[in-house]
Amino acid sequence: MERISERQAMLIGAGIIFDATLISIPAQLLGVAHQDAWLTYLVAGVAVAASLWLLSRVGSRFVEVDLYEALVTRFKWVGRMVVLMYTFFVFFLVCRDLRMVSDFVNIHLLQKTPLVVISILVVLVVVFIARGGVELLARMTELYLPLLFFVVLILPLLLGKEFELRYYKPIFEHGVGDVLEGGWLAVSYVSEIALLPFFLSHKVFRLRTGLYGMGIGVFFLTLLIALNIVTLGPHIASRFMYPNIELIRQIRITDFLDRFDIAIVSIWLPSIITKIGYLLYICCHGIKRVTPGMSAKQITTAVGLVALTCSFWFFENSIQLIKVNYVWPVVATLFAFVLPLLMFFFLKPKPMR
Amino acid sequence: MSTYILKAMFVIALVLLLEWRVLRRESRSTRWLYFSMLGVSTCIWLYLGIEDKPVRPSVWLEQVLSPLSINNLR
Repeated sequence: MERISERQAMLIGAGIIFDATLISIPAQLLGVAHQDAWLTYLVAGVAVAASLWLLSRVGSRFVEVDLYEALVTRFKWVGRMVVLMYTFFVFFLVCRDLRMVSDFVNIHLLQKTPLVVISILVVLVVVFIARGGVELLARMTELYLPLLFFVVLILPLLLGKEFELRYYKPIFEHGVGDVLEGGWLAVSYVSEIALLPFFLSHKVFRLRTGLYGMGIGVFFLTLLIALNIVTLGPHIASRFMYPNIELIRQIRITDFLDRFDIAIVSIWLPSIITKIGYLLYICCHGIKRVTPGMSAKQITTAVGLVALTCSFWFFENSIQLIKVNYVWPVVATLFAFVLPLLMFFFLKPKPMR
Repeated sequence: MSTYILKAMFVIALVLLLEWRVLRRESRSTRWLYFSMLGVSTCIWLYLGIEDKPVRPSVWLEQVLSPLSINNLR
């Protein structure tokens, strides 16, 4: 059995929230909540904390095993159905993140390289990482994520001269409703941390670990969106495809460091690839739980290939990815709140005779 | 169309070349699932090559859930 520490679990949680959300949803949050967008992740965080509490309570009833195993051992068929549903959900996330990264690289770094070539390269790396197991993934997270957080922490210092604090005001100009709507959109990404108890046992993933991980992720996302507001302004930032990249492009330290974004992207890319690796690992882990005797490690390549083709099939272009964000909170709510609530009431160990 | 078939065949041949030695030692169920996923992957790839306007699950999902979309609720 693979072992990871609580600290690693916390970083995994923070990474799962932070890595993909950076390029997926900030523009939409700024469009919905305008200058109050910095509050949206906090609203989502409060809601997801409830989901983590539910899952932690369920996990505490099955200390030695993860929730996939608990479901399958407790309810033979219904449990398998639920695991299969979660596996399809995670598979969709793999396809979405894969397409998002490929589009990003295609738009910003390798404009003349065919999208399919970029996707194949990303899948190749993701498959190799995911086959290494959760220990390898956790070590990669430990290596790159703190570095990425450090870069985000020094951004206010590098961008200080561009700040326009008046962009924050007036607070709640459009009412609290817009902030809540933004929070609803953000829930779909922040709630991905609720997947952790499905491959980590309660020994590793406790409520405290989840809340710390979520707190770190939400803090850095809030910091970035706040920087977007004071540097670019909510109206301009909401019109960019990737406002965070435009934010980093504002950094001009000296004449020779005018493309600081390349350096930051080179730290972010391994982090997002590790995140997709986690999702692929959870997907294969789910398939293994549903079909006993299956080797999760060996099917990783095949699942990766299906995810590659599905990432082209599911989404026509990068605009489609953005459109899905508007309805995705409904699906995320089912998997992060409704099913955990049902598990809270029904998933209990067999009573001892 | 033929380009799509060639690409699919090339990728599958490459995957099998790299994985076959390990895959041979695996259980029958693992091998079956592995090959069926390769088959599904190839079918999707060819479907995308044949169809000009393929049916996309995300578009379908968007249409089904559109009454609950934040854009329509505002």
